[in-house]
Amino acid sequence: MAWDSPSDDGGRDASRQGTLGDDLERSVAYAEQLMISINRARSRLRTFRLVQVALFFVGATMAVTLALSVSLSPAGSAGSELQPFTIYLPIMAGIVGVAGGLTFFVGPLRRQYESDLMTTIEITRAVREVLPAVAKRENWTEIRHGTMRARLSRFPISDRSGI
Amino acid sequence: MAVDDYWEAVRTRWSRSTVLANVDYAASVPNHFKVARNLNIFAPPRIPLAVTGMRGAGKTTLHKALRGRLTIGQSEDRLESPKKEAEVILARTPSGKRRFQLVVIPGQKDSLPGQRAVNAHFKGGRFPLGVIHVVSWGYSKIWDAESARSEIDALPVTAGESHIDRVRKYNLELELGDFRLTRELLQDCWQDRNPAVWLIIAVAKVDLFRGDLSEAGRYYLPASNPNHDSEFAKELRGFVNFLGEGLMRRLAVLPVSSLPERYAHGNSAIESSGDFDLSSRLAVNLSNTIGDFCGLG
Repeated sequence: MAWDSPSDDGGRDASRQGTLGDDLERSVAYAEQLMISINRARSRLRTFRLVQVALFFVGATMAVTLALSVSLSPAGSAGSELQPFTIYLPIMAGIVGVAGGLTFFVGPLRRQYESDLMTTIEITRAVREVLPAVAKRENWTEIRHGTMRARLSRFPISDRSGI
Repeated sequence: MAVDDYWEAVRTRWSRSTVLANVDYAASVPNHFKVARNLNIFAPPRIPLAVTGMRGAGKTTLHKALRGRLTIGQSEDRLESPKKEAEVILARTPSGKRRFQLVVIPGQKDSLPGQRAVNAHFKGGRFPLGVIHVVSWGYSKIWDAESARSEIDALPVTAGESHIDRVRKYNLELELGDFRLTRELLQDCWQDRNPAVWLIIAVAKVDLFRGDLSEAGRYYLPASNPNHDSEFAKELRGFVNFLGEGLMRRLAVLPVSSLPERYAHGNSAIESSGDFDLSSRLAVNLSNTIGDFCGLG
């Protein structure tokens, strides 16, 4: 990651210390990096969800087909009654396995997504709160203040805002 | 209308409204603008109205109060509004039923939901016919108290000043900045409009400063001598001058107390002197003014 967390050096590295305005800009840059990960994770979660829905429909269709083929097969042909089971059951087991495997990946990905989102929201909320006062005290130019506000306007207010 | 007459009318309306906040005021205020829930989704066009203001000023609470959804006396667990709140409301007025699209624009305009709301309601030729801009004389809620503390501590200290006074000073500065942003938005979308638009500055949370309403009025209202205007009043006067009194025929500054509750920051607090009657009278006064400004009186 190009930017370190603003608190990584604990403020000990004097060469990196600047004005509070610089800190705010570093914080927003860190939030922007997090936002890239958040968007990537969101896209993956959406793909997993689509695959899960597709697997559900395939499984359901196969179950219905299996039930129909058993009920419609002619009576007395014992071998042909078992044939659909031998074809479909391994496939359905595979589907269940893939769906289960996806859940295994989705859980940690979702937790990481939620954690990154909350961090981003907290950082940008703090920056929004103090930005007007800091910009005024440090005599920011209009362009610097406007750019910062435009950067902030890409972030949600809370996890209920949607992104 | 001459300049003095224009602002004199606004000041008179404020003075008449503040009488309703007197502790010994007993009479009830007739409601000409009764709000109901809109159940007809295929209803004809609606009058677009917007509620603006800085974070924590009380926009959501006022929005709920206007829709009659607040349970007075029961403080709710309130959170920062995550996105714009919009609802179609139906108003029963002496001149018939009218539908309004009432939208609350998030106080954090430099956020994703804030930008979306601004683009949807103030850009691309769209504009609200009326705006209720909520201010609270420095008593707005600070959602990120930890971050604000360092800025509040950095403010110059004045003798005899309490902690709450410093919090208010900090909030008033932000409130002024927010009004400047709102002013820019409204000037862009309202200039050269044909239908007369209107603006109400709703001074919220008056239950916290019921005894200082004259001073609050002097802060928000342009004075008879422009040299005595506060920074906020200068902005308001400049806004009207920019758009012209013809377009801004309807402007009011009104007291509001949607949900009386104490104001706390750190270890300091101010107790509310409000009650259900105060909230009710001021809400009716605001509703009636909205109806009046929409030509429904």
